[in-house]
Amino acid sequence: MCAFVAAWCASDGSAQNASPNAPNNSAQTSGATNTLHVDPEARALFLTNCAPCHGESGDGQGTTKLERPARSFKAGGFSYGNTPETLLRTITNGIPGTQMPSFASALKIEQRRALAQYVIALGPEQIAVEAKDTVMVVRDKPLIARGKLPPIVDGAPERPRGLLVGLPDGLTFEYRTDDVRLLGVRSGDFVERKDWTGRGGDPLQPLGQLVRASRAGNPPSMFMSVSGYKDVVRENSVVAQLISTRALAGVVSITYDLIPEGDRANGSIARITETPSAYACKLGMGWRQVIQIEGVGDAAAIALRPVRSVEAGHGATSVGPDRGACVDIVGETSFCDVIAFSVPDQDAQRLSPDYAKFGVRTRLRKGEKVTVTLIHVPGIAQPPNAKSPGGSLPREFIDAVFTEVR
Amino acid sequence: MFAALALALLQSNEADYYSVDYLQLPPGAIVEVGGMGFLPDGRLAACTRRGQVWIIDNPLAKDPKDATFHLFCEGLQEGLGLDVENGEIYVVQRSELSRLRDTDHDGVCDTIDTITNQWGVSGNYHEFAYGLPRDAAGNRYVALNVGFTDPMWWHGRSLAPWRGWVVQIAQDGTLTPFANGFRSPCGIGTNSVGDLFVTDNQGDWIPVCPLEHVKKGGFYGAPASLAWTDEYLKTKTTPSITNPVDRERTPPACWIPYKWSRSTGDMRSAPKDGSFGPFEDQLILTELTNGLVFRADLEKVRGEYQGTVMLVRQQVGSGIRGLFGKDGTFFVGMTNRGWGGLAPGHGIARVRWTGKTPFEVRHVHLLQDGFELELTQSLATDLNLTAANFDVTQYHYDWWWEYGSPVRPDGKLDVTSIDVSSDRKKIVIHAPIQAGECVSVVMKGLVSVTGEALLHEEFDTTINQLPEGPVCTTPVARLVPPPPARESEWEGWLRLCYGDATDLWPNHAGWKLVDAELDVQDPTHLVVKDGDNALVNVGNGAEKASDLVSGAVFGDARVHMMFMLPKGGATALMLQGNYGLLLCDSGDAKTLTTKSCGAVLGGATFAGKAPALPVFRGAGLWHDVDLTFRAPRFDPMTKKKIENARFVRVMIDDVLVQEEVDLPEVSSGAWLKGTELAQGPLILRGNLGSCAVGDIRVKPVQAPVDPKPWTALLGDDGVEGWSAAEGATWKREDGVLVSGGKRGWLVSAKHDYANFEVRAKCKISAGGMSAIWLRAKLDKGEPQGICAVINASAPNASRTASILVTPDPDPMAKSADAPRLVSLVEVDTWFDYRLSVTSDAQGTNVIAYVNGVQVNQATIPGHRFDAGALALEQHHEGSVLEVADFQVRELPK
Repeated sequence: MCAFVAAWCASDGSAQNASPNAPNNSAQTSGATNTLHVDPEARALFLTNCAPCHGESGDGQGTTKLERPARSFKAGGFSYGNTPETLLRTITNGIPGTQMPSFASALKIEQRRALAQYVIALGPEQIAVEAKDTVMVVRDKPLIARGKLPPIVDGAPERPRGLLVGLPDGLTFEYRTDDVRLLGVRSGDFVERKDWTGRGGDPLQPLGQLVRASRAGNPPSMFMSVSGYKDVVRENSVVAQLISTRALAGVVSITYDLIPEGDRANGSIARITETPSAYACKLGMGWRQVIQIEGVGDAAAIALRPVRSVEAGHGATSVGPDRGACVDIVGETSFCDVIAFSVPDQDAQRLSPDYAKFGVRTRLRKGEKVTVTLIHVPGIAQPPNAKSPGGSLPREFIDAVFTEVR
Repeated sequence: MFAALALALLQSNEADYYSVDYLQLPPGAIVEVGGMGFLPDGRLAACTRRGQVWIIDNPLAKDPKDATFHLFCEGLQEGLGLDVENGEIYVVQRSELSRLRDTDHDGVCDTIDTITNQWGVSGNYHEFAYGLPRDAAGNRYVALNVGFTDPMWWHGRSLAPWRGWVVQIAQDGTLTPFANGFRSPCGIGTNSVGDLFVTDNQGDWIPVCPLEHVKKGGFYGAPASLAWTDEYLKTKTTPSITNPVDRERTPPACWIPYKWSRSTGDMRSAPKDGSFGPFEDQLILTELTNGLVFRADLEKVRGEYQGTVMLVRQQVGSGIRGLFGKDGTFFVGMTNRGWGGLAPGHGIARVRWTGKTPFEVRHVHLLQDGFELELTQSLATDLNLTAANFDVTQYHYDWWWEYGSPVRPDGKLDVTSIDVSSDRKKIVIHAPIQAGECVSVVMKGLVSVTGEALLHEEFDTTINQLPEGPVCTTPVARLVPPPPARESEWEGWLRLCYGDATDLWPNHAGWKLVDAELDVQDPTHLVVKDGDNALVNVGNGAEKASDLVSGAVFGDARVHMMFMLPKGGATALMLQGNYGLLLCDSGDAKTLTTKSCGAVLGGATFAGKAPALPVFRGAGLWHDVDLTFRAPRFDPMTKKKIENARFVRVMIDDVLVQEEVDLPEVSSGAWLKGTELAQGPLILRGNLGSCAVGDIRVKPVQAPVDPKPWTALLGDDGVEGWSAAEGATWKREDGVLVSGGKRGWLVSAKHDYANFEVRAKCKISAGGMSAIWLRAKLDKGEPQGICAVINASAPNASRTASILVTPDPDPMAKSADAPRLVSLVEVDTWFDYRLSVTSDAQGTNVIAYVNGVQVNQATIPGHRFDAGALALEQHHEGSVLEVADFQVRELPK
């Protein structure tokens, strides 16, 4: 799976080379800088500038005769603090009233910084402060972390109810859970639990690099309920209500109910089980959402809809017209470069090259299920233009996707 | 009085009757318990604030090491309540009530079902959700904390539906708002007959922690929650945060004295089989701050619960959840992160009755004219009790928006007579008690037939109603006129370690900014970890920590700080570096000496002064110090001292320990060895012992008025001659200049200010940022010159009193910028800002003073900025700067 991520990054120049299973670097102790990686240049600077007073070993026994002996760095005796910042300040400004001069003009800032690090490393072990224990690391099993989410992009709001799905291959799916919508996808380490500090209530800090944020962090609903058919179609908003999450045998799923807005009293018309995972094909790397729709009422009419409003009868792929109403299922073009969908247990399995417009409608009786797979691979298709609003997809990709979803 | 009692209590032998041990946690695990329950097979489940659920095998094992933990679930959004029904674990998260299932039976939760998430979460950090009792019908109850927002955090706010409510959740997930008027209702549970109880935390409208019997439709005192009632929804208004609402309050069953509980947790009924000792069926409560377990002995008076609270066992740890095991073991789930409380700050304690019956008041029964006390053992046969054995004091509280209420004493009651029953196990105290009062009863000299003294000598009873007579309509928490607004609380104070804690302490070698708590294994040590709650003198390798020396110097001042010590720990707070106040673990010593906590340190001939009362409450507890200091006075001509320095007043935890202490000479350990000065730094001794300190604040007492003249810069009727640049707007309101609009500046007409001082009273909004520009040039767009920053909270690291130079004259050599990283002044708080700018042959010297104290200085080489305009900056849209008394005084070149 690491290969997947590496390839992913190669295919998307914006992402850094992430290595999801690498040890967690952020857990290092802030003060633990004693491991001496001897920088030969710093050593040379030290011998020239410091050793005459402080001694070659930093023991304070230099060759220059002083009224008061210079500090022994070995004993850790720093007059004005022992952090890189405070030492840099001392080296830069000197110590007034002593023979410690300012090196502000003699040495460049980088040289002074290197010297500060070198001098700290000469000192004794510093008191250990417990390492940060607030990072959740995904190892061989997926993890789900609930919490408040910070703005996914500048200007987006915080999400007080959120959920992160961390997969062992280094992908993180970021959902808000009030209405169960995927806000974005990340690649890299999982999450730092900032809410484990202070009194709590701080946002989680997802550690992965953002690969895609949906609609500036404010995704529309993927679903609508539809009543009527052909000429008389009424589309209604649905609200999603979280039912459960599951992490089992390496598979994560999120289950939620769709409830028609304005008709909440009658409850759910469909239950969705969404399974996010990584996806790889020869043309690129991405992720997929397998979406299982199960009828709950007697005549669940659900559409997984296009982002761009589809005029009635146009653009949406109707499944089983004899059954009447629908759900339009559509990916969001601003979110995904390519979305493929498939309805394996229906006859209408297809992949729309005109991907800005496709959708799925179906009417499900209670207990009937349909599964739709959305595949997102950034960077394959040409962006839509006026002539070809859907852009175009390479044949090779279409074949790959069909192989995948069959 | 309270401190004296506390000390006496510490010396009691509670451990003879109730043992405490701690389950051994997995290595490295932080188990911040928020809820506990037993699985049908006897295993213990505990959810945590870290969103984990642990399952503990063998929790009743004799040796706590034999109880073993495994992680059942992680990744929840804070778990502050847990229930087990039909073998399945339910947890209340901040955002939902969930059922956790292990469908593949591998011992780890794989499926989390959302029972409901239909309560509001605005995102405010303080919106905790507490639980999780269940009634006979299967309904669960969740208590929802209000939010606290800057800048006036002490006004609780209900920012989303049902905040400040207890909600009922049916088995099918239907949520029903149940009762309101709660603030921070951390404890929620039922008694043995299934009646619902809540403990709240003192603060606005909650004078001290109450124990409430919660009934449907009740209003329990904190008005913010009423925002979601029809009355306010219809009018689209919210309840006043400062004026009391006109609504009947349901009085609590008990008000819990602050000295015993500052943060009450939840409660459970003690087993009826006596396996927890003699307090069968009473409510046993957990307490976080003081880390103890206490009890509420309730009875129904005129059909409503009311009663008495008493201590059971101290030195347990930061308990917020309790649970009885089948053998009578009381499990105490602990956490204190961010809340502060006695160590251990996390994990699970077991409080067990040793089988030995303490000599205690088992039960207090309210009579029309006093109390009938039932004792656990007979009184000594030769003991002749009289009224003199009992101190009975009445008091009440104020119901107001201020944070908590002081005890309002209503006088000592004359005990008219004492009756003792023939079996000598009952005492009747006759006294003219009244309804609408709390009563504290202190019992002195009671001895049992076996020669034991009372283990706990005080109980406090809440009397909402007497058994007979007219119904009392006066609540214990009285309706009083609103106190004056607290806007000025922070005015004049300088916070010396807020934000970047060591910024203003140039000498801090060996001190680290960390979170600290007592090491339970070795209470002579503190355990430190990453955090920002305390400065601790951890030392530096082999070397002990140096003294912590402030960069700023002070004369007359009020000083506030907090400290926490391990066993044997010590430090001294040295005013002006010279006059010491000893803060140390005084141990069990009964006599107060100059080595006791709160003593004024002596010098070569001055003996020092012992504290008036014992104040050290114990290792691991945070103590507050508030003092007023007067600096020595010197003859301006001869420079000789004409008046000694003085500790005017020293309070530790609200106990007056020193008053008007004349200081003829410096204390031993003074930093300048005898040199007394009008001003000096604040010093905390680093090598007297281990210590943790924090929240160090100084309020300088203003220096005499400077007689030299100042010239007003802004006329009374407008901003004469000044010009607005870019998008900012500036308006006058009651003599105060207020900024608005987009980024921009207000520039003086005069463009050649050279050597001068300016001063102003300034106030900056939360998230706001501004500056006074000195010697500025604004040809086009951004100014150039010297910028004195005004920033209390904006993300930019440079805070108020930072001196920044644009463009930097020689950045390669040494930046002329002098940022100030500590947040000296609270947001939305007026402060005095004075800036002095003078040049000589070498360059320019800029000094910044806040509230009369020099807090920064910068030297700018060269002569690039020798003269220019004055300007005020509006840094960004949304920022609000207020300026008054803006004045200048030009100085000779």
